[in-house]
Amino acid sequence: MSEPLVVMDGVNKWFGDLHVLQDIDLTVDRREVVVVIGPSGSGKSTLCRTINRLEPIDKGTILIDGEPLPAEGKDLARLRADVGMVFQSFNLFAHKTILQNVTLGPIKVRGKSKDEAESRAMELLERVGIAEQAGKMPAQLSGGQQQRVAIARALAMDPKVMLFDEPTSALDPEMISEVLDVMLELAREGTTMVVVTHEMGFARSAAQRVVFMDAGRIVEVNTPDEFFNNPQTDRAQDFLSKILNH
Amino acid sequence: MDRFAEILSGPHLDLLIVGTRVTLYMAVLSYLLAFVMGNVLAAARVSPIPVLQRAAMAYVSVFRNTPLIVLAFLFWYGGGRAGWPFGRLTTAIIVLGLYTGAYIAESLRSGINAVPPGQAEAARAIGLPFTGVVGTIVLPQAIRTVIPPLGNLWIANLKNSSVFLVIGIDELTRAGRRIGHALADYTSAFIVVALIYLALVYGSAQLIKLIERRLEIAR
Ligand SMILES: Nc1ncnc2c1ncn2[C@@H]1O[C@H](COP(=O)(O)OP(=O)(O)O)[C@@H](O)[C@H]1O
Ligand SMILES: [Mg+2]
Repeated sequence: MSEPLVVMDGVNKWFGDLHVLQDIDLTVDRREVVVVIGPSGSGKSTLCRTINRLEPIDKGTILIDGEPLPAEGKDLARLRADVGMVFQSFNLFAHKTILQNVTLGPIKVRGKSKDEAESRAMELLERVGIAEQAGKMPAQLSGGQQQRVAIARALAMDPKVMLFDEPTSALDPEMISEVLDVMLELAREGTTMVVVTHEMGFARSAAQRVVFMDAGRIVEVNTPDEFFNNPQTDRAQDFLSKILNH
Repeated sequence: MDRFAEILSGPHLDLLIVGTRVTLYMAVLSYLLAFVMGNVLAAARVSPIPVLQRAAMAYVSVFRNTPLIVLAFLFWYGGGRAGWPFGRLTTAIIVLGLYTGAYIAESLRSGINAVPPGQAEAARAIGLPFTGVVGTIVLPQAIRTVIPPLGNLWIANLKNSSVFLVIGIDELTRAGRRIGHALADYTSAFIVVALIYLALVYGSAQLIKLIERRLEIAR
């Protein structure tokens, strides 16, 4: 029961000649929040995307809840349903209403009835503060609102783990906190989360561990306090001084 | 003027009405087939399965590079010998649908390219299988971006139905030829036929605009 939810073991990936993930070993425990941080191009998004196999890997193994990631096909689709993903650019389905965005997966993938899916969707939209906008189209909402809907859409699948790839990077500053608040709430409830973000406040108050990546490798893993106050590696120190003086 | 009155009454009018009805019937059914074919072919083109991609490419290049009239002869006369089971009108509808389907596939492919890749990714991420990703998320958005070219293809398809007079379909153009022959006045007969096509095309154009407005994604 206490086996980790996500296990990445010796994961390697290349884009052509670019060795984008190098010997990645990472485990994420149940109810744990792991923040992934690192310079642009270090492979954070790619790492995130390998966990639900949006990017296939070339070497190593990834287990989700003890099961190895299947190859492309029905089994993979089923497993992806258990891994929620929130993208930097929201990616709400542009031709569907907010409500339909949230009910689509439960109906088409989980086989829930429309009524059941809708009442659960309204609950989730309520929780992220978007219930009044349920009938609108995505483009009619602000970025912060769209991202909160994207979180609700992922939660509607009752995922075992939630992946966030820089969920606040595309947002205007005044909308960042409304999204982080929702994520903090999820963390408090014990949702297992892997979050790529540079929001230190979030990392400090929600994460059990910070994973620092550079040039395709995990360079440092530590508690948020240790990592931010007392980084062990030169590269982490260098990176932190840059984002702090920014 | 007497001549036109003559064409627009009695048995000549009946011929025109039947011809127009057959033309519209062919146009609608063949376009429906073409639309289904186009979607299937476009989906095959973006599928992760190389065999499907190549089959769709081959189909499109064969049907786009063969004159429609050659296809009509090939399926009706050639097919007839090889045990082709369908009647004249059904054959015409199938051939026209397969032909226009190749063009619809190409239109949809450019529409698919206009859909941001994040849409398909988000669909995959919630666990939709390939058919769901393409059928529920990508194609419905792709179609909206190519309504005008799809409308043009509807109009081309309507006019192309006239080719099938060569295999003896009593559509509008063939009706015009009969009337022209009976009256020994092809000019008047085909002016009337041309005006009927014009009305059908104009009506279609209005309908397409309406559909485009209805399908627009609210912002
Ligand atoms: N689909 C791709 N094809 C080729 N190179 C890619 C692709 N995606 C990312 N890369 C490259 O891989 C490296 C890591 O990218 P990414 O994981 O997005 O980094 P990060 O999220 O840390 O900024 C970058 O150099 C990027 O240009
Ligand atoms: Mg990234």
